[in-house]
Amino acid sequence: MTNQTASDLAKILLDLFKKHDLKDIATFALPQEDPNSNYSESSSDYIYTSTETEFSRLERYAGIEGKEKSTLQEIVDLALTYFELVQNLPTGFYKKLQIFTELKVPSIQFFTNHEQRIDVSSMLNSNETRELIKLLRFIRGNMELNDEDFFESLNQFN
Amino acid sequence: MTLPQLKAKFDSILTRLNSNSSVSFSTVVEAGYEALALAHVMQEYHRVYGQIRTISPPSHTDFLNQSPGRFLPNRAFKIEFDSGDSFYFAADVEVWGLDSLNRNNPGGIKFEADVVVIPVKYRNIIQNSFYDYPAPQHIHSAYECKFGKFHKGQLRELLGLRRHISFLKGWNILLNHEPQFIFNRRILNARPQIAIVLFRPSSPPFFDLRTTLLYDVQQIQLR
Repeated sequence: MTNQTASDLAKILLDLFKKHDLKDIATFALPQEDPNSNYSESSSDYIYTSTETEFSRLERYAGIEGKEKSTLQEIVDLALTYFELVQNLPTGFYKKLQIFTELKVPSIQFFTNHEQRIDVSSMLNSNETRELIKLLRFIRGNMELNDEDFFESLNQFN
Repeated sequence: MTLPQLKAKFDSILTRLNSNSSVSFSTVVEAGYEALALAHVMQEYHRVYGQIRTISPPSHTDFLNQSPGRFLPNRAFKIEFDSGDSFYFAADVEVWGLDSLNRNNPGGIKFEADVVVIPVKYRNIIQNSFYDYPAPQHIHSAYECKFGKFHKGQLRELLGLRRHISFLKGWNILLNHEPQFIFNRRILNARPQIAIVLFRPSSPPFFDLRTTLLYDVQQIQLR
């Protein structure tokens, strides 16, 4: 994949995540807490990071020469982390309750103010979630192809 | 396929993802994460309190109250332990604050917590005298769940919940229940000694660790 295509695709993905209220994906780009320095005096340094700052960083990096591919790779990895975790939330709920063998486990659902029933399990593990994961995995696995082969493979993948 | 076609494909899937209900996908994600956290808290109480005598699911079909609100036992899980302790595990409950603790009467503003654990023995008093909203003296532990966004205001929210339901030490609050080491943390300064935990799928650093220690709020990675 050329740097230009990587940059264009990175920008497209970020635009779409913004459009569809999925900027939360950038949360997984935040630096992680060091468990060894937790609650120690020296780790109280104040460095402001947030989902918004990480999303802006990705937008900036997508246009910087030399960072196109690594940024696309990072965006795809973050989106995969997000959707794979989301897809597994219902399974995680049921697994945790499995130890309570006598418990009849209810389905995860709620009702909106307009009495619409929202089936959380089926929405989080929907065809769309699976389709997104499949497509993102394809991009991650084929970024090293040249543009022509990449888009040709995408045709066959579909 | 071309780049514009790939864009259209992503757009189409993401549109369908968001159009399956009247609430946004990220709202549904947060609800799913609350369910996971609720189950995790039940597991932790099982670890702390040991053998279970009985466990009951909510009798109502919906245990996630999307709008924060009353503590309704029929929307809560209930566990009775062999030790004699028993608790309700409820999602999206609004709780009274320190004014209600001081006067032992309902009053003042309420603050919503994503998951609340309430000893079963307080059920009647909450229903009969506190309009179905627990006060600090009825709360065993409280939890916030944030799957998605992370920003510094969230620490303030957590500190706000702490300030709402606890004084700092110096006040002797006698409870009718014994606080325990929930998630392996002793409550040092907060009175009443109510555990407050923030669950996240990743573990970005708190913005001021010393403050979180002082106020006995804890962040735990859960996925």
